[in-house]
Amino acid sequence: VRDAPRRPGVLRLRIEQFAPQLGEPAANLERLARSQTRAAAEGIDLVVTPELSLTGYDIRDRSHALAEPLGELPFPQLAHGPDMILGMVERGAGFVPFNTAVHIRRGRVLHRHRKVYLPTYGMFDEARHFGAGDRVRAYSAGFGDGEDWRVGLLVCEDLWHPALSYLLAAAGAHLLIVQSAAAGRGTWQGRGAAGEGGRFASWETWEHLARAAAVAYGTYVVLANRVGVEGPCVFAGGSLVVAPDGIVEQRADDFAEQSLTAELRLDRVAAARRPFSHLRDDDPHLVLRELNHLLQPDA
Amino acid sequence: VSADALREGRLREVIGAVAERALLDRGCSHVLIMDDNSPEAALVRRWLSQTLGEGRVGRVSLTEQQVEPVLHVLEQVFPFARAAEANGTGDAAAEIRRLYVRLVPGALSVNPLNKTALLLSGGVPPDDLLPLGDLYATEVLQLAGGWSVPAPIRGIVAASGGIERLDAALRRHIDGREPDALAALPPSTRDAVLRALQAGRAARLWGSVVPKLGSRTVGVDLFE
Repeated sequence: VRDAPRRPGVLRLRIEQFAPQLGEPAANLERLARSQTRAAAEGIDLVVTPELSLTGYDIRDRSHALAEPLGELPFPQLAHGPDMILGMVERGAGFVPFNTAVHIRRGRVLHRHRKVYLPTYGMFDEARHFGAGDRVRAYSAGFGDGEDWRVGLLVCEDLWHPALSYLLAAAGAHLLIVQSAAAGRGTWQGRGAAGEGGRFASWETWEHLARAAAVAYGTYVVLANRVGVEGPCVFAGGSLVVAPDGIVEQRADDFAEQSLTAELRLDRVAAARRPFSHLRDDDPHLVLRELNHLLQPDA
Repeated sequence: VSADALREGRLREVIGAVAERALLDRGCSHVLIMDDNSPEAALVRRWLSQTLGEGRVGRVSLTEQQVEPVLHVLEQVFPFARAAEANGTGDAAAEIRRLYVRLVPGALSVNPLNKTALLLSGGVPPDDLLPLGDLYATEVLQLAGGWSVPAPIRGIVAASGGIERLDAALRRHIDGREPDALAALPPSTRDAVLRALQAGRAARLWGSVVPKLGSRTVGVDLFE
């Protein structure tokens, strides 16, 4: 799968920011397989793609028709090359479609995360079309050759609910991977983090969220957003790699398809956590007690 | 490059990308702008020429004089057309321009109406694409150096104390969803605005393609 020897604690990650074709999973899978082949030649360990990268976003009533079960070897086309996080409509037990992020290794499923928070407000209508996930789990991705990376997956709106990032961090995640299909909004107001102008206001909020999670938990946050147009909506691109100290290490262009490569290092995670003890001092028992108090005030 | 220029570039990119998608989705080859010689029409022509290419952007700018013979015939079939035109409830010239676009093979009709006009005109014009439909008149004023509002709404603009005051109230009402936003307008004007908004409510649920630029967009997520 990989010719160059892997360095301990180093993860070469690529965000494949692209415009999936709406309702064309075969074409999109072919595209992803090509990306994987190219990534293999460049010594990449993990390719991250945007939300619903197999189907496109605005599929509405086609969610059932496009849903696929995750069987033994769901993606033989992706069996040769680096790992890939792709976004798909997963057909769950009971034939419920889920908006799912899947970590594929040699064509098989290493881990999956069903989007928990389905936005159903404003321009979104996801709860009409998808079932909601009911868990978040960090997992050992085994990239480290001795020093293992623990990873947590989130899908788009999940990042707007900090409890999920907290749970993944509490479960030991070094790296939060967030897939998104975020439409650009606030074109008139958007000025960009440096006040330069000409950016989407919505994207400034995304950057705040990603950097806040990175700083609070000392984790890398990788945000893979899509580009392209569906109907009246333009997807913003601007994918990010945020280092564990909250610095935006890499940023993709706002509109264009782009392959963004970053070298993630576990020693940077350690360095970000040395000056502070936020994660060490977090007390999940206290959180549990207080949540119980909120949920069962009379108990 | 100034922040304003960057913003204009971003708006142009979004609108151009959505227009390109609309052409693809509908199997059309070019756009035809319903050109009433307004500043908005000039802005749309410039932006779409820059993004789609000049060869794919045409305009229908039939003058009143050119339309006159057709109006004359029309009057015999639709005797009320002149009256509607006269009292500001109809625009026969615009309808003839629209008919022109409909008869051109492979053309996507483009109406340069701004958001203020779109919200208060009691409906959504039956054109395929409204590129400026998510920009208020005051925003168009900054971009195009002028703005236009259909004749029936001009009274509301004047009674509001000007387009800035009207737009500010509309923006708070529509985008901010502030329950009391329209209280900033004189009481009689507020009622007229509410009536106008109500009149177009159903039409706005199923509008034309309006490129999403702001937080609540006609046809996308402005459901009242």
